[in-house]
Amino acid sequence: MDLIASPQLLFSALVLGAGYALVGLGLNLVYGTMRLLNVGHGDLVMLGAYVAFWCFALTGLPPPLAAPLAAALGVLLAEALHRGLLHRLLGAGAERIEANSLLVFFGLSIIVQNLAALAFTASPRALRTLDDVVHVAGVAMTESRIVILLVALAVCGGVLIGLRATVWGLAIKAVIDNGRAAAVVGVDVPRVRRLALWAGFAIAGLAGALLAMVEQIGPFMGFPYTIAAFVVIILGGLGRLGGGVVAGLLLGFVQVYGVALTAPTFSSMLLYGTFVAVLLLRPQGLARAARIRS
Amino acid sequence: MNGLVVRDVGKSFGGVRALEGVDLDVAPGAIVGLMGANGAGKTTLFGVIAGNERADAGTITFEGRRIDGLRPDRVAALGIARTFQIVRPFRALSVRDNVLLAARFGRRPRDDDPAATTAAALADLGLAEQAGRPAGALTLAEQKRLELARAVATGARLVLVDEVMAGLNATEVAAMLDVIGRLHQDRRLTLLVVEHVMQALMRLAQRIVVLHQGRVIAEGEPATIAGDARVSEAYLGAAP
Amino acid sequence: MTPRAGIAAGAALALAGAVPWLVGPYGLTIALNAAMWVALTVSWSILGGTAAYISLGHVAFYGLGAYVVVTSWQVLPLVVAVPLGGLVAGAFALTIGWPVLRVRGPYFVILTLGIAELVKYAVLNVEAALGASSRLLFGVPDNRTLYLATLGLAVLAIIVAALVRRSRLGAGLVAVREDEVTAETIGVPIGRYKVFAFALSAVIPGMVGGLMALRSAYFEPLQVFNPVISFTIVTMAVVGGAADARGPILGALLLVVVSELLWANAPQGYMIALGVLLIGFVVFAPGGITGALARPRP
Repeated sequence: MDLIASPQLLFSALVLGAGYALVGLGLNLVYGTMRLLNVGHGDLVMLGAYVAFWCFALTGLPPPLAAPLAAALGVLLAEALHRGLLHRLLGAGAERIEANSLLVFFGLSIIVQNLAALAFTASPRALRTLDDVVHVAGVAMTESRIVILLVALAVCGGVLIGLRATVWGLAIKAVIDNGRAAAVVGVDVPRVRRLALWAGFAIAGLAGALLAMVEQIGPFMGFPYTIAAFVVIILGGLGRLGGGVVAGLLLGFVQVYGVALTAPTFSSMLLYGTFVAVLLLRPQGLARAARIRS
Repeated sequence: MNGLVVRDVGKSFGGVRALEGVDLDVAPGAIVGLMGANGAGKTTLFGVIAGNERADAGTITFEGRRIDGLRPDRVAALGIARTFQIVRPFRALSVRDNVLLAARFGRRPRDDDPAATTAAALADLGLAEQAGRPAGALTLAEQKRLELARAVATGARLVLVDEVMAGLNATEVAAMLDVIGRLHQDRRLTLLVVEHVMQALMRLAQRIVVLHQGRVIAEGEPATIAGDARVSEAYLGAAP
Repeated sequence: MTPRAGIAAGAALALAGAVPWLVGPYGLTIALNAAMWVALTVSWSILGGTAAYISLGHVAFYGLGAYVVVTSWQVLPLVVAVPLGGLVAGAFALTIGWPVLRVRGPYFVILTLGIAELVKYAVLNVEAALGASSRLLFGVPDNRTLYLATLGLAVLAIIVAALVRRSRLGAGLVAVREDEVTAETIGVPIGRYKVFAFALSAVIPGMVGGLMALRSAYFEPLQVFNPVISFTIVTMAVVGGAADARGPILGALLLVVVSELLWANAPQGYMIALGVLLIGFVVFAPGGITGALARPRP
């Protein structure tokens, strides 16, 4: 029981939660503006992790510095996706089109994962850096984890502030809230969506680069992050990016403290269990609260 | 009382009280009109009766049985059908299959000859020629008649007709009035009709109930309602 | 079914039944795969094809059936153990059906994905608690027997799917696919129907899982509960045309052939091909091959 109260555990939960919040933020931006569920979101994290790995293995560049590269890769992929497929998928948001677009993203995810497996082999990689331990207030923290926590929170904070304080941010918020109304008041909706897509993918890539410091890197590592991202957007509420950050942190806490109360083998069950529970308790997914009808 | 009895029904959506203390009686075989400006609560009331929504106050009884809180298929099984304000045909299915589905499900005891019921419904609604076409290919007026054909094919005794004239031109309105009148007579249906097209409602309904902001504000014969000051005030006052 | 089609089907069935005596061991492997995928995909389409509730988690049923067989086959005769696997899978689907099927559209898809993973890790933990990390099976039936059993399941799946399609349940499910709210309003008991179709679609995959566990004579949760299986089923159904009776069969057979060409050299190549096919068909031919071939009725 001492374990539960330990600040060590708190730190672990914060780091994991911050990672989830960051990954989820990326998905939230994409989903919020386009209502498309990217089941391959976690694979962007995976690609970002590989970028960091190869940069480190080939040039010794530390992952936090490789992160912008990973983000840039994300933007590139976003643009490729946007030109290649999205104009087909965006349109009347009928339920079946949404389900179909999900299958398309799923197909893409499988392709990306297997291309990565072909290119990098399925053997898991790991990189070791920034693993000096620092003691803060009696808690032992590895440098890498501190970096993850700080950068994740900084990016989340930056985005949240940017959404309120910049013109583009407000435009994104408007499109998330009501795309049609935003168009009526003059917002260039397609351009905003493209920007949100870029941002969402970039954030995912960046998160991957950071997480490469603490996670095993493999072609199929992305899926748990996709699940975490979904928990974030469903629990946080559609378009409530701030709520999403809280949800991500919460998920981190559930997993870390859950494992502490049970056993490490329950880690995955906690993640998927939370996901299933969240979906079952909010069967409407992200439907806006009660439309007012005549 | 053997018809539809709505007592003190209330319903909220989020912070908005869509229905409040609504009382309504529809005797068997009657045609009752339901009037009100947009947002008055007419479609909500239909949803609550048919089971698509759950009232949070009050009771609804049909032929002596409580139906509030029942799922729509149970309500249909008891003999109530509704049409939708914005038509909802099964687009990819043929007109006949649309109606056949209603005949195969709908009221209990189950129809033992759904094909015959379907043919009769299609004939009554003038859709026999269109039977093989996909429902999505029909004109709006035809799709509205399809809604009605489906409703009667379920074997319902009470049909909730939701703005079936909306979007129709004068000729189509006259035709629809004719069709509804004949359905009412030939099949001895009870009808609760929501309509915006005033003249149509006045001619069709034996009695009219007026809703305003979720409450019943007037009730009576068409002529009386037409002259009621509160009603015109509600309409003029609520005009956008 | 017309008499001519009946004779053709009978001939095909007789031929399929004679396969073990007509081809060598390699051919038998392919035939076994074909029978397996047909059984899985046709069963999946009972819900996925008629009501368009796309389950991406069907491997959960497959895996549960496998687990039941693997843990009970020493004590129960196989004739009991395998159907028991199917029953357990069906019961599981029935139990989770009500809450799960309230979730609509794309959320249902990802929910099934999540449930399959959850079941996988649950079984993994149970096995860990039992002290078993993997299980070897000794004295399993030969491939010929397994093939005939799987073929039987494939035929059963086709028959069940056809019966559902013709029944009021099938008609109601079609209405659900078109417009769930309207379907319920005209009297279709959508909740009951969806759950029942879901449970029905789980039983045969459970039995197939059991047979395949015997085939590989090896059980390891992470391998058995492979999401690739769910993905392959859905792709086969989409390629063939989920809504048509023949679609899942066509899709399964086609992709088994493709896998024979690609898998041996690079399983990743096969997966990429599947991904491309899935995307291609969803975007360009959502009705699958059978949908594209069907001509609009006059």
